[in-house]
Amino acid sequence: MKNRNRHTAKLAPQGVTRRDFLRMGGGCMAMSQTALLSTLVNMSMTRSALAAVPAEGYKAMVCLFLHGGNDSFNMLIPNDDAAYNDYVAARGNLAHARADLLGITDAADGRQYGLHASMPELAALYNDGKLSFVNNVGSLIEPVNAANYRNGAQLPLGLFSHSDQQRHWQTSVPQSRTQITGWAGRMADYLNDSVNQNPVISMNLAIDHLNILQTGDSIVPYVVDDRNGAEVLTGYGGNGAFNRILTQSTDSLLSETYSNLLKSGLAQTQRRSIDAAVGYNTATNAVNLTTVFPDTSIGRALHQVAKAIGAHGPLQQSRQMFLVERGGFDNHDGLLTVHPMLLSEISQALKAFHDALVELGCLDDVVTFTISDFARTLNSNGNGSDHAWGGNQIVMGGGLQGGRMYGHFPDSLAPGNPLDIGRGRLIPTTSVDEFNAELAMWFGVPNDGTLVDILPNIRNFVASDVTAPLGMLL
Amino acid sequence: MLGRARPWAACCLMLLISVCAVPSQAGSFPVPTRQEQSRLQAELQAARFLTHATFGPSSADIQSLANQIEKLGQVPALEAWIDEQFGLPGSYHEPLAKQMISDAGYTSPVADGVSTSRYRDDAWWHTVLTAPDQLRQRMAWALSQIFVISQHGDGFNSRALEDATGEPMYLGIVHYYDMLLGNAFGNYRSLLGDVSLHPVMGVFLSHVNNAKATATTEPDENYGREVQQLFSIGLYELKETGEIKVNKKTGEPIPTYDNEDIRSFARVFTGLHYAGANFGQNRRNFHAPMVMAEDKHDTEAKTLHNGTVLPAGQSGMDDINAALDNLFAHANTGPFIARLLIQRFIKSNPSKNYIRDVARSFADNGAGVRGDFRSVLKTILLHTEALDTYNLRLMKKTKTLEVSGSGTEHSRLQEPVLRYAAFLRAFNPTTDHRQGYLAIGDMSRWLNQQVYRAHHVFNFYLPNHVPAGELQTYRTSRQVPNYQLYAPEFEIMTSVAANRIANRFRSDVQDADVDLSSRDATGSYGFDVFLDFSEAEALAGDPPALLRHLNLMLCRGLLEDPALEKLAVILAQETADPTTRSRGAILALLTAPDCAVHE
Repeated sequence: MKNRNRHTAKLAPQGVTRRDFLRMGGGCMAMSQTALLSTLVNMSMTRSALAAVPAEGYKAMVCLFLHGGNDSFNMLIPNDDAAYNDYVAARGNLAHARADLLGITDAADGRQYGLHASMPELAALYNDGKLSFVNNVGSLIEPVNAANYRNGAQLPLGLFSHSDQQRHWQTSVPQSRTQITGWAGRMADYLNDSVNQNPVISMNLAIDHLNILQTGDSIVPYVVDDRNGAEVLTGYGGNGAFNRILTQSTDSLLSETYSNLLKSGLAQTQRRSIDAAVGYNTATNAVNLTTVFPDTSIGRALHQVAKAIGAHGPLQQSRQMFLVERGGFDNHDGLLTVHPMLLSEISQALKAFHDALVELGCLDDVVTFTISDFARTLNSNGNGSDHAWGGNQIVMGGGLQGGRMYGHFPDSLAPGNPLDIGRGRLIPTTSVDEFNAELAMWFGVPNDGTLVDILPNIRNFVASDVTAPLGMLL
Repeated sequence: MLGRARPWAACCLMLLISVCAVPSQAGSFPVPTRQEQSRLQAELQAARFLTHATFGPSSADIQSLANQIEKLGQVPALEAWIDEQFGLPGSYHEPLAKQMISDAGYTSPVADGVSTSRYRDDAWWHTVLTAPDQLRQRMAWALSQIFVISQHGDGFNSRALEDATGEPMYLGIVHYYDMLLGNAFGNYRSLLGDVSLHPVMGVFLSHVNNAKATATTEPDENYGREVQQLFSIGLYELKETGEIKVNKKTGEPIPTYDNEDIRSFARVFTGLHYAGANFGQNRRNFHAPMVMAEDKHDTEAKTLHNGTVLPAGQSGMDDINAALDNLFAHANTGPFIARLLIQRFIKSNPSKNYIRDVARSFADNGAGVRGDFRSVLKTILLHTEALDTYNLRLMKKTKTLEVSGSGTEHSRLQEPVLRYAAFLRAFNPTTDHRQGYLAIGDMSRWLNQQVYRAHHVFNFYLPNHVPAGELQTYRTSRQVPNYQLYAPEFEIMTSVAANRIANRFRSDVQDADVDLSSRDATGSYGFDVFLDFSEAEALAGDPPALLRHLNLMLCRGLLEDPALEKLAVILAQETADPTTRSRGAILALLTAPDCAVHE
């Protein structure tokens, strides 16, 4: 039923622009003609691939989802004298000593910050202009302030609840609990056919888990394992009688003609599952990185992502959107011991990922960003913090102007500050929608009705003549 | 699309029968004698029925029901089986979960080291794999996919004891599941009441601590909407046949409710809070129905469906009961629930006749009672469209019995969880788990489906999911409501999931056991669930006979001859070793489209 060994993919070479690229046999600016095409086995490509790389070239998004609510006001700490004192007043026994902080400066306005001591790699990237933070961002339906918070503003459902706030970041529809598509899924519904010539592997790729973020009306994320890549059919094509029976019986059963459309649909799905996994692994295993990744949850996941980015040519994808998830941030207890280990893992893994993107020659083509349910109460519960709202996110790459801050870091974190709705829960001053709009527009979504389809509340924050809501990815 | 007549399959014009049966290619079995023919026919009918009504049959189950079919005839035997099931005591999961925890040597269900999810999963698997009350378990599983909750709710995974009850919070969702089990053979209206007042649903759809309007706040509309959309009447007005009614002028479906109805129902569901706590207090109690704080309940008049008005000043519980009565009485509820249940038990696209007959048994069980699930279940399982779409024909010349289904409109892709459970049950699972439980645990990575793990209130898949491909343009017979075919289970059968399920089967079949791990008070340990392939292995010398045996066990005889013949050749060519041959055959059939899609 399927032509499993057909080599149909033809990519339009656009000229090799980097020496590294030749050495690597892959890269972001163009495809090499022979090495990569020869890896194209078992991918039942049917569509013409001539449009595989649109004029605007390759871009990827990598979302690192920090599950549980990253205490991001202990990751990025205000470090001007008054602001640090306010921080200490708010955080009490959770405050980090000033001497331990890694000093960084906002090049735009001169404000001083301290990055947590466990993130020296990120401090260096920030100072090198490669990395930035978007501050006090959170889910909103419409702009909220202290006055309308208690009097009439439409508020996201289930504020301070994990399940709700996680869903809100993913759907960008915080007024609904019944939204079943995510904003990146809807974006892929819009983009996929023009940027992805791969009939079996979605432009939305997830490490280990299906998720709402990347699920659209017609798009389902392609899920791969952090260590092993795609789930191949074990033993298929292998040696030994059992594997030979498996291989032949699979091929035989999947090539029967089924008049029952459910049966033929299932046979097609199974055939694709087998072929897609082989195709994905063949393409990604051909990407050999010299960059060493830490053997941590995030490190392994980003290593897999880097390989898929390096293989985007043979995968015939000129847009890729990745989701990496890491749990463990719900630090009601033991914040000061657990949280630094997690921050260190983020920092080391992002540094390796940065280096791998440099090695692939595509740092500016890939934007990497964190999201998290919420930041946490500035106020201590004894030895941890509880669920709050606005928080700070890391953004790297994509050609951003790093070394400066985006959004607005609160002027003061002192208890009772104008954003504080109790216990140091801060009203976000930048909405998730603005954050997402910046990413989507950078990715090629026009700021018109399409953006509104993807982010239904966006007009409460961003007018139709704005080109970069945060001014970050220009 | 709606309201536009489509040409229907020509066969329906030709055949004056209620069911448009299009025999597809057949599987065939040699039956040299009349006796063998009668026996095989009974076995096939038993195997297929038990696939509908249980988590899958063992050889012994098939033999036992086949005896009854031979003795009484098909329908009387099946009805007797159902009646026997109605009489069995329920096997409940929460007491078993607690027993498992205690057997594992923990002094308390909230002791350090007790996993909050393991025993919920293990109690579910152990029960569906071993409990005699299979129909009740199947019905609860079906209901859990309509009245959906999941483990993704605030406090559902908390390893703390509830102040009011002393029960572990993380077993609250099991308490909810047991409530479904308790109502499985009861009445829809009682179930709807129990669902609406269950605190787990209160959290999941946020009507716990939902206060009447104040100067600045409005009641939460979540439950007010979903109790209509998902649990009772659905989005559009339906005929008794399940067809969507259409506005003749605009051609548009007629909505069952508007935003005003949602607001009315939202106001009905105000004032509920945890038992043993004050209104607004987050003192969780997942084990007792929510109770009413009258001063937080909206006491103004509310207009509901069909002109029903709840008078001002009524008590909160009177409001809720009257509102649920209003939904129960709605003409949509019978056909809406009928279709969802048929999809879980029999087929993805029940015909208009089938939905109508089940809706009528919902409306009246024959004794004037509305909403009786026993009557609904009997109609679903014994309807001609459940039984007669399965064709057994004796070919006298060749002395073979031919088995065929009725094609696309009479099929469903079996849910992964049911496929896996049926596989295990087919091979008499035993275990060296320290306490003897079939503690299968969390299989969601492999199956893309697992109890308590729906991502949202819309279940694992939508009842109206249409996968990309030919099904979207298929021209249906006019028996199909609104000429549209659905295949919900394809929503979780992704290009990733297909290999994962196949790999799970492969690993288990290759070793004839499921390799698992568990933990008790002394620490972690590995154990196995062993599968008995001896019956198949004994037939390995004769590949066609081996495959026919497995065809009966795993595919209800529906693996078609051409496929079977090719598999027999492959088996004979590749090995003479009976173990490898039988296991290769089992694995092939487990993933064969003829077997995974039920006709």
